[in-house]
Amino acid sequence: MRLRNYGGGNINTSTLAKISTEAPVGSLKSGFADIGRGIRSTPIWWTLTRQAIRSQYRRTYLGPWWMTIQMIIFVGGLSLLFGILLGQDLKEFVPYVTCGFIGFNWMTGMIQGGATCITGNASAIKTTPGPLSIYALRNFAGNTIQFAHDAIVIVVVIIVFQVTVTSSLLFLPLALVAIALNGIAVSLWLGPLVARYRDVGQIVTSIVRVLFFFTPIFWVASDLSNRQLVLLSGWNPLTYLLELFRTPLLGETPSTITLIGVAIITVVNVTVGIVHFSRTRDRIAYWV
Amino acid sequence: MSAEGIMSDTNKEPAIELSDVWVQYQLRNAHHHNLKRTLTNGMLRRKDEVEIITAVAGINLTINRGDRIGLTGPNGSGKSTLLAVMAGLLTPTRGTATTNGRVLALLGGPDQGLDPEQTGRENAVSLGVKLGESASAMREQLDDIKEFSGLGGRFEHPVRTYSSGMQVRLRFTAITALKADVLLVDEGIGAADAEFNARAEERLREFYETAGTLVMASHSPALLHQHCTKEIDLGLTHAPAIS
Repeated sequence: MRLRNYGGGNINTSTLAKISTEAPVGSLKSGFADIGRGIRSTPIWWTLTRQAIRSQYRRTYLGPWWMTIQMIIFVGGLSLLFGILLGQDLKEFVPYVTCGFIGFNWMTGMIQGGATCITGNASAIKTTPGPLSIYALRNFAGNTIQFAHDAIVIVVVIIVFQVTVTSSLLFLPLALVAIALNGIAVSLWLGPLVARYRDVGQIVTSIVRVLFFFTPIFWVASDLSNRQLVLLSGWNPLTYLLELFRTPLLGETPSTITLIGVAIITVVNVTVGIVHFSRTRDRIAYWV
Repeated sequence: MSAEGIMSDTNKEPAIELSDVWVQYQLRNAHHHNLKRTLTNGMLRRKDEVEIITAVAGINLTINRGDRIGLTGPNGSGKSTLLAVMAGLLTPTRGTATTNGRVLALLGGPDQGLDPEQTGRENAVSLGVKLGESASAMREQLDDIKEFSGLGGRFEHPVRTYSSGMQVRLRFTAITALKADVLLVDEGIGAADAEFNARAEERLREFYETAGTLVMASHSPALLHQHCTKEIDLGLTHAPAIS
């Protein structure tokens, strides 16, 4: 499409838009179009997320490195407490807890941020034209930047505690992609759901809080019987994603059950995300 | 190259076309809709009384390129809602709305889209980025934005230290630094001083004199007469609310 140029400079035609809105709404097509525009505007949400994190830490000396420091303090305390309480060998337990908690924190950060990604941006949604999927993508980006700062702690712990790195580390990229996809997908369905039913936001907060105990972070799955495992964490999707993330870092190969579990969770979550976002996309501005 | 030379047949398309546009909100029982009500309603076989609020009722409107339209009407007549529909922010509950070309919208309060912790300079870049401009393209314009806004040294200060008039200066200047085909303005420029308002109005004039399309909602007849060629009074076209 070509259009008249007003200011003397060049118009970047990729930014020219044709907005067309039509009732009835809620088609998969409009949802896909929005998600497509969201993905094409990656420089936008990436820049905005980085700026938001920078201003969050603006008046501190250490800036975003506070994320790393907070993680060191928390993981150190957690490892010490449960290592001694449960009589674990700290040489193995500290890397186990560090990898587990940092992966868990990345995932639950995206769940909680996903719950508020629409309601927390209400004024922008009402005044700034653009695809709505960028709010889900910004939530993903913000939590992933946080995770990148935390991941330094993992690297240090692996070196200090001399964890043997094996070829199973090749599973790590798969885990990162799976967690990223699930994080975006959960924001796509949870954000609009919370905008419509505000109670869901409260439910999410309560559930995420107890998930910490029902995900193998400070207790070790192999210490338990199969029945105990299913009751404690087998029903929890985060268990499978966390296993896929943690085992390669500790030099172990993820089990087949973990791989199948992650595949099912990802397919279901991404499908629900796209379908629910598409069905609600055109109503979101009415709910915020 | 002449202006006509770069124009294609898209020029024949209207800038904005609204066909039978309705915007209706549901207000359930004047209570907030929550899970408790949903559950108890289900158990008691009770239904919420749904009140439907009609913000825009069956508007048909074609705005051609270069038109300058003023929207008037009493509070609640749907001026802001109609601007939101034109900007693509609200999908009509019935009918079709099409806006061709790139839209800039000056909607919301003076601090809308500004990050209080960031400086004026950083906010100018992110305002542009939010509207789809690249950060590097915005940075090239920073000197112009600094000068036009008249913020001087305060341009380098965090926006939390700005008065609302200074926020207006920053926001108006950064947004109108972008190239656009359609400009949507709600309630004028805002609470800046007379000196800045005069320059801001000059900048609006530059925009529409090069065939940009302007839609401005305001209660001020003077402002609308100054900038607009046509006026639409929504108070007259508004159909009674139905439920």
